[in-house]
Amino acid sequence: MKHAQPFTISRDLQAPVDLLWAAQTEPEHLAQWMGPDGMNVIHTAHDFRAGGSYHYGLEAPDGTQMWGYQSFVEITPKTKIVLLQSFSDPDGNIAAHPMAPTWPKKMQATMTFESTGPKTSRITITWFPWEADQTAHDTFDMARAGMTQGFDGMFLKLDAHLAKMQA
Amino acid sequence: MSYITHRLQKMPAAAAHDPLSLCLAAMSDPTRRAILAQLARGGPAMVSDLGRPFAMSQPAISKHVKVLEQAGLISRSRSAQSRPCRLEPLALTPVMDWIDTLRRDTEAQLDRLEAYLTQLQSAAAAAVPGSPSPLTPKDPS
Repeated sequence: MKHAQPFTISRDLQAPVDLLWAAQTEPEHLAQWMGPDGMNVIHTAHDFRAGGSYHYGLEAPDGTQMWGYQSFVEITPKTKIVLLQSFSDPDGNIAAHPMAPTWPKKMQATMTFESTGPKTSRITITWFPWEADQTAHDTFDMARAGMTQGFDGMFLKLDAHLAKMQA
Repeated sequence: MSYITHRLQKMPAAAAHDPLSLCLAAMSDPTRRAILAQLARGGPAMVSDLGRPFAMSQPAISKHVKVLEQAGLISRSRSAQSRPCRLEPLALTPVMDWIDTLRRDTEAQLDRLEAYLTQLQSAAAAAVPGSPSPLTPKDPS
């Protein structure tokens, strides 16, 4: 099987790593910033330890709900979290991507935390399909390529072509 | 903490036959993406020409072409005897939009984290000594 390449994103933050860690690991903090704008946390079951899980529900003003489930694989305080991320239902059952059936059902996320100074830190997040079949790997890889490079020559060319058609 | 996956679920659950699902399924195969790339670079082509770079039988290539055709990503002329395949770039728009949404939501999630950390620290700076540290979550406002 041909595996996808991981997708990585990082951000330098104007905050000490202790604060970054707290914001990322304590449910009261998470409720303040996670999820898209305007969505409220309606459910939180947070068992933050290796082998534990985080089941959460968010609700938009129009009543649309989003549910997610994470299982924690590895936790090294203020350094690293490895978790498996999935969509779920309100009961915590793993669900497929609601729009893209070929998207990987479980994604491994590795988050690393670094202190880059007394008042600065960096977070790096790497995504990789977990126990996925070939189609899921390929779907992920296509999206990753699109997100990181705006696609290879093929899609750059198509982008330009689309722009021209819409001009 | 969910980054990549969040916004997607906000959208209504769609049948597997909506344009995005069809295109994603069609494009999740590397051979089919290579066929699209070939058509993007070289213009319309015959199925027999499309199969040339691959160590694959003609029926196997025809099958891939059919999947791409059903997803609307390519079209084949009805009139000409030869029926060349042509790329339909506009059919790619849902996939482009979806990937764009993924990227923007990932960035937006980090923006929110950044803003929240700034907010916590300015609250701490404004607080009198001895008041709760920024590590104590604030009430939602």
